[in-house]
Amino acid sequence: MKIKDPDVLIIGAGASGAAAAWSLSQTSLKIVCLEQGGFMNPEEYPSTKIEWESLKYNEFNVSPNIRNLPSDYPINDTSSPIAIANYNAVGGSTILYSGHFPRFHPSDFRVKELDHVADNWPLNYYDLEPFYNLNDKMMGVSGLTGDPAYPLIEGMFAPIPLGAMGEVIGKGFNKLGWHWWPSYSAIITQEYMHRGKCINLGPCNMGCPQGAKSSTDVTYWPIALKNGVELRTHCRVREVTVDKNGKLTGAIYYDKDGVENFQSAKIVIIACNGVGTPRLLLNSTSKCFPTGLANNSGLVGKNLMLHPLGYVEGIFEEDLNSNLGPHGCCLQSQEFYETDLSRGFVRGYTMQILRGPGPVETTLSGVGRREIPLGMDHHKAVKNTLGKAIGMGIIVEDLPELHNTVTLDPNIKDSNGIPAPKINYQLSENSKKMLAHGLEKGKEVMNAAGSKKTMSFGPVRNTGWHLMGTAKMGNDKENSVVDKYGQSHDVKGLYIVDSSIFVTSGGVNPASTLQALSLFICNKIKEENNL
Amino acid sequence: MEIFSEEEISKLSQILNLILPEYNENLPSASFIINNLNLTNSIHKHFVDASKNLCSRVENIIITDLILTQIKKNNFREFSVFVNLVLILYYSNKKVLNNLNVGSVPPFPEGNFVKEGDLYLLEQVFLKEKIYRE
Ligand SMILES: Cc1cc2nc3c(=O)[nH]c(=O)nc-3n(C[C@H](O)[C@H](O)[C@H](O)COP(=O)(O)OP(=O)(O)OC[C@H]3O[C@@H](n4cnc5c(N)ncnc54)[C@H](O)[C@@H]3O)c2cc1C
Ligand code: SF4
Repeated sequence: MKIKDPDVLIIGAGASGAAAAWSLSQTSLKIVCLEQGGFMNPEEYPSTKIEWESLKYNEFNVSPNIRNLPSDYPINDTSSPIAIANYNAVGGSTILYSGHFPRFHPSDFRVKELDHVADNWPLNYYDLEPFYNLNDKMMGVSGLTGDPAYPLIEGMFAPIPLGAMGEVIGKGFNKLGWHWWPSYSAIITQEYMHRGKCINLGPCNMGCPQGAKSSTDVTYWPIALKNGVELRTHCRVREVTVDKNGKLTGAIYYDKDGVENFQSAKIVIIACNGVGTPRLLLNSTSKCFPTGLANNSGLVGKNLMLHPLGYVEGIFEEDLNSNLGPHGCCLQSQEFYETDLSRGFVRGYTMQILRGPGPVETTLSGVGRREIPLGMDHHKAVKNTLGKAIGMGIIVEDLPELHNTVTLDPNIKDSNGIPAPKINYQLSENSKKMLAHGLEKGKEVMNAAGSKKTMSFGPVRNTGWHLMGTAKMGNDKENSVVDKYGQSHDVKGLYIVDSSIFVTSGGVNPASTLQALSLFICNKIKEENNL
Repeated sequence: MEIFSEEEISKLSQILNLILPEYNENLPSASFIINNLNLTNSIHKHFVDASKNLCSRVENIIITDLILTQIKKNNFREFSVFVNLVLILYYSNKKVLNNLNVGSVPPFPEGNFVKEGDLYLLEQVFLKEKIYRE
């Protein structure tokens, strides 16, 4: 049944929006969520089809500009060496994510105090810890307790199998005496909440037909819907509205037929990700907020952080079946995570071990790099590569810089005529040095593990999948967009729960932290309203 | 209506046989692609367009390795696009995948076995002092 006068309007049904919907659905609040995409049908995911790999090049591409589906909006990323990646549907970008799920380190929340860069967060690891734990339970997370890189993390399912490749690369790390640990994975290794366990199909980045990967369409949403949340799909919000006094009133959106609607609400929660959220705020201009809603600080859209990614690959002699198993989840190393100024840069990075690619990607990149020839020797070269490659992503901590921005493109609009976002982004000197260090160290591990051919490059263009910092949180309203609890300094009742509000980016994948943050914020909303 | 003219089929078969020739009886030459096209699939459609474009640039009736090198040199961009599409279509074929030892082939009825791995390898990491800062 349609809810006419919701207490809460959530915009965006991805990682953070789903967590917020579930958290608040445990109260008597009436909740509506508007999402521009639709529900996914796992039976239609590429991995149910023989041509699964080819679908990565069009309708399941990570770039909305290439997919160009009705649910997508264009993003002008021509002024950035890193292209933006996302997915727009119920589940948001978790539909395509790898499910690599490490938490931030305690030091990530105190960068100013410890390393004299950027700003401290207004909260710390231990404020978030209960919500990290709750989120792990709701999402379903696999991993191993006892990691010396973290405070104690318990209650996970058995880790994703290392496979032969994990053993080989683990031995490489051991040879160098470096840290490594099985991945924290938002993928379940045993049946849980009506979801099947992972059966090592591999193409998690095109949707998991098994329901084993913890995308929020199969974790939070089924429960939130059962609890009475109304999720309106194919509804794209144009602007969040205020009255003449700057008081929040609701949002204007286009429904699936392109008809303009207004939805009133007492509380509006924005969860459109680090690009979609500043875009929406900048499009929400009014007399009270001529430069965009909640933008009195001028920081909406500034400080974009993307985690520049380096790639290292080793080809091994033995058959490692490395193309089998969850692509992004095997093991990680945080040997170079914490600051050591003798390395020539501040802060650090994670090395994320990746399983080898499937046959299409192996041959496309191999032929492109002239490592796999065409002609008589082609098949032999493929045999020597397929299942024998181990990849590594270097996830570099990006620091906030005002000139890295999301603004509105003056010319490009989406199918509803709403101005599209434009990205201006450059890597800082610190990030470049860190990336170069990571690529070198990555090669060192590959060689120690016995790689017979090792290569590396970065930043990799199509990897702008961690979108952070564009509506920063903080205690000082001159220097932040939202407060410690995600509420706008300028507009009461307006909250942001996605990774736009990150103060810094850490050197790990952000989904675990942004969802914990969303639960933390919703917990405060419940407390404040005695719910 | 036929997708390709006889002349195009002849040129394409020769090019495909040279790019990805048959390899023992398990892996066929890529020329099978010409007879397995489904025009409702966008990648297949791209392949047809790229093939026609390439054929229109090739004057030779007989195509040898040497001539192929020339074609590649004179039409670098078009040739690269064509090769990428060939690779995508070739490695999306059931027979090819079944003979490649790539594990279970979609629709993945069984999933794949991946061994747990020896977690005892972590012993030396486990014994490390904590490496994070508070
Ligand atoms: C290929 C890929 C791999 C990744 N791998 C990992 C990983 O391994 N680990 C990890 O931690 N992170 C990973 N990420 C990143 C992770 O998925 C995101 O950080 C996370 O999903 C962001 O959550 P969010 O709620 O901020 O936004 P999203 O999950 O992107 O959801 C935002 C939602 O808002 C909707 N929306 C936007 N604007 C509007 C509007 N105006 N009106 C209505 N709806 C709107 C969108 O349609 C979308 O559904 C990956 C991302 C990609 C694309
Ligand atoms: S590897 Fe596991 S999580 Fe990934 S798609 Fe397959 S079953 Fe799903």
